[in-house]
Amino acid sequence: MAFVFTRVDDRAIHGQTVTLWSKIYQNSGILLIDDEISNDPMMRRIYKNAAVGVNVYIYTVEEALQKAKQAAASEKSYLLIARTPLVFEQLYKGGVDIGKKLTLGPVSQSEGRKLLAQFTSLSKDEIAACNFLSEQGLEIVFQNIPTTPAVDWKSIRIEP
Amino acid sequence: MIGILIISHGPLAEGILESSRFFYDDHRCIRTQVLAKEDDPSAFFQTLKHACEAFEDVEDILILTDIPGGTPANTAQMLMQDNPHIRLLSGVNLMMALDAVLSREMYDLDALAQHCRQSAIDSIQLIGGQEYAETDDVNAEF
Repeated sequence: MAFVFTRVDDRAIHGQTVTLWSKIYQNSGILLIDDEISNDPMMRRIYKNAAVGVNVYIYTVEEALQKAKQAAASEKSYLLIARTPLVFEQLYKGGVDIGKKLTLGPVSQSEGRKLLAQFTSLSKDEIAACNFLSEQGLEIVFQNIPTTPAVDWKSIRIEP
Repeated sequence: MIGILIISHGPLAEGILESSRFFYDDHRCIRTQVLAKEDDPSAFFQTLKHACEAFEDVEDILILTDIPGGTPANTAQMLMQDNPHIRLLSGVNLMMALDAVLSREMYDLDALAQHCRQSAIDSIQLIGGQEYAETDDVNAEF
């Protein structure tokens, strides 16, 4: 099985992930790919505890080039989460099958980021990463929670 | 269809419904009925009966309540005497209410009640006070 659900979410793993997405997409665990979190023992611990009854694996991008590849090749299903689309661009270019669809969840507005959808803000580099993945044939949508309609990446007009 | 009715001592039920808006937009299947401090407990039976009848397109009702043996729970049981389409689950928390709404189309009434009971229990976790064992993710097998 490839990853059954691939998501950008700058809160990484939180209530909506745990209660909604991980129940809709039955899975054997969540892979969280983030250099900063992976190298911070306190943050690791918080996110490991975040999902009740769900295995959470945390990797740096470099580790994920191997581990996410292994998970994608497994017979079991996994969810793949990162806080920025830049990670997915790196994984894709590193030969990881990140799935056919990328869901953009909440990403907060910070310096250099522009609000593109109700909950999602991205920087120029992040927009470029999404455009790259879109050109590779990935379906990209904005969707915060499963009960709200998904908005297609291609339907959003993004000023350069 | 299964309707979800949350009942409580005071505004807990309404608070749970309000908090569930973080996770769910469509609240047509979920209603609340609170027993206020100044209410006459003996009148709560009729209030609850009306609350159950107010559901549209609903045959079965899962009632979630706070304390087993409290007036809301006891009154609900009186209602259940004449209605085989009601189940009552006590110890309501946000996870129980969310799962009731999210999973209600996947189960029949009894299975939904069991599922929500387990989900509520699983959401109660003690964190801290014990040695934390870091798992070896780098050598994890998938």
